[in-house]
Amino acid sequence: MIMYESRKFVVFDVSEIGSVDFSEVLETSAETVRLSTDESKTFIKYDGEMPNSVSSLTTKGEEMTWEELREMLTTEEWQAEDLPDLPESEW
Amino acid sequence: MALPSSGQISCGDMNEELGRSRTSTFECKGAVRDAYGDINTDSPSYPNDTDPMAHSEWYSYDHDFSAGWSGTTAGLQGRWDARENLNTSNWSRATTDGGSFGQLNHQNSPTVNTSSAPYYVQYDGSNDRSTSTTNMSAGTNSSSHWSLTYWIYDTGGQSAGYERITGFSGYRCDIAESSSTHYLRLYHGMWRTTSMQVSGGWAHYAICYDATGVSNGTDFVKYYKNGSLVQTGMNHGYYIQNRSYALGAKPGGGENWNGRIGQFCIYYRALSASEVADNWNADKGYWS
Repeated sequence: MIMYESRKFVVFDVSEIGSVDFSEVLETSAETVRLSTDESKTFIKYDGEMPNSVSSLTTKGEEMTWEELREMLTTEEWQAEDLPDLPESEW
Repeated sequence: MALPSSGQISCGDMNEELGRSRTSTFECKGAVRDAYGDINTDSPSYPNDTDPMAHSEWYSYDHDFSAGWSGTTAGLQGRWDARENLNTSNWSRATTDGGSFGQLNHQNSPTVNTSSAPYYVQYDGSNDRSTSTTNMSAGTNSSSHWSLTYWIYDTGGQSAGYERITGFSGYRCDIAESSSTHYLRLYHGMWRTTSMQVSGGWAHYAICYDATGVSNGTDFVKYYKNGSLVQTGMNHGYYIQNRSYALGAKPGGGENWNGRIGQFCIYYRALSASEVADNWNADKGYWS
């Protein structure tokens, strides 16, 4: 299923979150963004062209697609360790 | 009480159905013109007063929308239904179902589809979610009962091991999807992997917790898909009293789910198999 073709994501240092104009991006506020496991990085998303306040971020990485972002989220940097699964045989 | 499905309908009948005094005159202010097609399907909307109205348009009209939902309402704490009270900012529970809490606020712009059926909220699996503004009241302690039911559609591309379809503060009774197998999982002290796959288009899921099994040693969590019992389990008696909750992620974010939710119901009792089937039957023509 092809999804979010026009959606773009940019990762940057949390220290710059105050520079983001939340009227330009799809996140609600600085309080609702998702943080990396060590809480040093976050990302924002938008549809179409990169907003001005995002362009101005000095720590930003490359613009990412939805598929690339989802791949990134599978890494340890973005996934907190969860409790182990209990197989059905041990219920 | 709905208006009759045939015969004469007086102005007094219509006034009474709309919650007004019975009089021989009728005024139809605040009407929704576009709702004409819904008038005979238990819509809370009614014709525009500038349009000519035929009595036949009012046949079976019922302003109490809950009467139009044939799912189980006994013990219902809340039903979030994409056909009611959904916009791009928030999602309130269906108006007339009862219950004491209501609004979910969308965070980080999940996609809301209310333009073409079936309606739904789409979570992109990055950081969007819908968070409760009032804590859950169901489940007062470990001996309490609850049921969670969903119409959901997995859109694939899962990226976390336990992507939350519903998350609760403290991880009580989180419902998640496995990234690798797409099996539904319940966190109930430990992660329990069910044999229900969240895939294959729209489907109805129900997780019903009957606390009486805690004391008598019988299975007390039952899992249903599309109205049929799939699995039972003996789990710890975790409860969900006063918990905040979210759709599409953990309440504070993270472990985001990629998929669509059309309906979400919370009950403060364990539904029976026939009641789960009633819920599935009520909407299978819409979401499946």
